[in-house]
Amino acid sequence: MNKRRLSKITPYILILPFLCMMSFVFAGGLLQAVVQSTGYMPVFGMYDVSLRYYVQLFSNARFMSSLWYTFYIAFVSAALSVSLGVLIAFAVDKSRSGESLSYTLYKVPIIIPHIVVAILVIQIFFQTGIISRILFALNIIQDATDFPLLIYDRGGIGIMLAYLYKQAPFVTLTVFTVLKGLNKKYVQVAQNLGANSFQTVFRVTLPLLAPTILSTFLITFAFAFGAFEIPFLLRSPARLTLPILAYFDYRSPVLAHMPAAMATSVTISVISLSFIVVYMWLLRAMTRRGMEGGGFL
Amino acid sequence: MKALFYVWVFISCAPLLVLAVMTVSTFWPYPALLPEIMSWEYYYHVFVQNDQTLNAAVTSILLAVSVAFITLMIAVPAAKALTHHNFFGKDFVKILVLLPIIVPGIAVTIGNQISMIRLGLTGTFGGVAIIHSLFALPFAIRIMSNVFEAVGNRLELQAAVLGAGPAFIFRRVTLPQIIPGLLAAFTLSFTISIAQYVTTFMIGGGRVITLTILLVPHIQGGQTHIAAVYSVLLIGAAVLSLSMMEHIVRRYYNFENVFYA
Repeated sequence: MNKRRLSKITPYILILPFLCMMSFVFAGGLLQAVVQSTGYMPVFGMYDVSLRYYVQLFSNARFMSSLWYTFYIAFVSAALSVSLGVLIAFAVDKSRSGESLSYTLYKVPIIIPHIVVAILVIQIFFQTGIISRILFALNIIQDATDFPLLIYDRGGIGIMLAYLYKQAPFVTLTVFTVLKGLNKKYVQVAQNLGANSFQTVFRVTLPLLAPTILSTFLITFAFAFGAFEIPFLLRSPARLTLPILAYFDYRSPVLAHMPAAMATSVTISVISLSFIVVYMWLLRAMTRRGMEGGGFL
Repeated sequence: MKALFYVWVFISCAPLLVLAVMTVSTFWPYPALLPEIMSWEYYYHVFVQNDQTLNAAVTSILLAVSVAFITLMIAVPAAKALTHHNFFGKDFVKILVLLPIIVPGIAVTIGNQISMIRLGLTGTFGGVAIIHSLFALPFAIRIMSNVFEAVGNRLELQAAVLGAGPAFIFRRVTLPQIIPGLLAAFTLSFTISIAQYVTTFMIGGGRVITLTILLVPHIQGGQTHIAAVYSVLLIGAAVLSLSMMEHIVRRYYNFENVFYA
């Protein structure tokens, strides 16, 4: 084989292990879920192939409320994480403490495991938690029951607090990296032309950051949509997010729940995949308008 | 603006202090701001009374190291292909890389459990390592792509022109240049693996016992203080093994500060 032909197949050889992993583990797993969601489970003597489990799901009040609840949690926590994260990115940029200790410390939540974050949220925000004790010491509340229920609550506040803690620094890190590399000339031109700092941020910097902000929003949204540990440990017994619902159905001893779990799983995957399509579409629209790309994706 | 940043740094770090206090607070009744009795009781419970703890710590670390190696062996060539080569379907592969981040782990794991049962991988160390690697891959490929972009391929081309073979080029030209990036990708993959719970639980089937497997029932049972001790152990194990790793790598390759990643 001559060298020229070898160099032509090189990239395919290099990418092969990744493609194997994606087809056998990732696609293989999803395909398995798709097959079983139709009710085809020969191991248990179930051979009927149909879409009835999907029909049942979408007419099931528990599933539908879970679906909207998951969207609500993902949307609110992603919106808060991105807003706070961008704000802190600006603060980091302004404080120019690029080398100092606090510049390292703000990244701490990124490496703390989700399970540990759940413990901390319980200890700090539960009715007998640290915040409640501080309010008691300040005479603002007279009893633990005066403190609102923020964990295991129907509004999912504890879950969202945990996401916020984990995801805001991730947004900051990504946005700040792009912010540092942004062409500062645009800002200088705007200032020379008499723009105040408010106008500079909203008319120049933020539009330049838009693709990055969009991509971090998508990642934090998708993560909050599909995460397991945090809603599993901080959930209200009355309301479950879709991944938890799928998990409980999957582990249920009732055999008929199995295809339902698979159908839920497939629904979660299809929704997540549609995020990517929306993202690609928005990104293309933005590049057409001359915005620079960047960010995690 | 500066004040906001420092407030945020405080919010990020203060919870770790809370975690540390939790592990030693034997008696901490409601309105008290600080624990009334402090002792090492919870540590005693975790390390002495439970003989599974140390095995679980070793399993967690071995698993995380294996995951990091598997991930790097897949991610490095993939990132190389995505940065310095053009090939049919490159854009498609770039989207594929994102999928394990976007598609929820539970959906992939539920489907995989059946395939893994068929392959006899359920309940095995290898099966768990494979599923963890899948979720570490996007991050590792991302880091390594940045690294290859920063390093470029001019030195490799130079070596090839001078007649060096691919294995020699990789060992003597590419590797020394990408070592700091490898370390970053290794660290991230390790951290992702050691924090996994539900994937370990489902694919490990109760036979691969890691620290998180021992930890979670304590949160559910309301024994958050014991869970806090396990958390300290989890974070400590990660920090310790990663700094050892960095130390070893630095003995063989002297490198300056990481300028990318």
